[in-house]
Amino acid sequence: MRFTSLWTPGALLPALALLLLAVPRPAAADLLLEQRLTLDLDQAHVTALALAATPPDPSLDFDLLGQAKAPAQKIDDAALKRRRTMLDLHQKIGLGLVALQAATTVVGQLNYSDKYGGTAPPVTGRYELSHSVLAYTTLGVFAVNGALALLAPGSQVKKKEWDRTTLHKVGMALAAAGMAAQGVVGIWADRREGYLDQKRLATTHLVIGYATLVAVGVGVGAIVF
Amino acid sequence: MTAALAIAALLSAAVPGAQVLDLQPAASSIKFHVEHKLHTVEGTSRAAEGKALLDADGAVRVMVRVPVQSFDSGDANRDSHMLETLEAGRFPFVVFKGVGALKGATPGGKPVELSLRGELEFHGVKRAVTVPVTVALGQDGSARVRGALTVSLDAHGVERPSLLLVKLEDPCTITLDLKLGRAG
Repeated sequence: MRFTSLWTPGALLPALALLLLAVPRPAAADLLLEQRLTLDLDQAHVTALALAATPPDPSLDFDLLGQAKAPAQKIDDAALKRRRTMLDLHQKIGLGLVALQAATTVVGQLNYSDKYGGTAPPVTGRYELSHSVLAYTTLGVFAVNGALALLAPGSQVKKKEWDRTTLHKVGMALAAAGMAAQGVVGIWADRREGYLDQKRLATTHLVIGYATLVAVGVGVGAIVF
Repeated sequence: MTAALAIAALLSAAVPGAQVLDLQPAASSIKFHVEHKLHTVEGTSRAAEGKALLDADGAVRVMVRVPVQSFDSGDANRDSHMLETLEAGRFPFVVFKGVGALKGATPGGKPVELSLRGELEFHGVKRAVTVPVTVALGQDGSARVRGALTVSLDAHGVERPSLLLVKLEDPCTITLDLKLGRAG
């Protein structure tokens, strides 16, 4: 009981002051203390300091517009997020698809040249398998990537304007038609081994291949550039 | 409409000599400008609503609200991406509130500079901003306000979209060209 009464505020404050004076201060603290003590405190200087200080911002606690009206169109964030996830994946696969398509066309050209080009070299057939594998892989990836885009939730902004995305869709629709035609003509040409029209069919397949590559280029370029 | 009139009446009654100006959306534009390594994109909104309260001593209070879905970048697919990125369903508006002191502006006179200190609520994140604008007062009591500010998409928690695995640059410049007229 007696011990507690020693720690009244009246007794505590002088004790704290003594303690603070007893604690050694670093030199920098002494310097700061000196500066504070030597500060010119004439009234004009104090007034100038007060004027130079940035005044606190007036309160922004006001509302000049009241409750906002609901936006014209209700936005479904979840659908948009799903759309973005699917289209991001579509974009990444699309980049790989361009490389695959280019490789298929190059190997297709080599295969064509091997079979029909040159003066009279023997047909080696060394590009046939790689061209077939590349062609079917490209077709499969194209179908998956197209499905990703087509199955993604629709855009929530509808405008009847010609824009990059419209050009992309046109390019890819042409590419899809080209791929389908490629498959049909390619298989048909393969089955006409030994017939006179095989070269004509193979040339058609080759031309459609280049046209499809151009269509893919237009579709991708519309988005990229 | 009635609520807006009531607010305007209350506001002008609050400070003697206060003038209330309404933003005229059709004659105003708010644009955003973002950069990607391959593209520069600009979107425009002409659907902002706003109000300015000008006290007799030059003190100004401003509030502007823009629906996110009103921005048009000229590409529906990109606008749809923007709505997703900015989560327009959760945060349908960009809101600015600011205060400043308008000095030396006279009707029909030269535009004067005004620094609006305030707060921008964008993507649900409020951040302090200072918007330098010029204000030209018309003879008819209207005001033309022009200015720009740069905001950080990252600072507002916006997940920047990417093209070809490259993200959009962080700064987004917002340009204002606002016409305000006497509240009727």
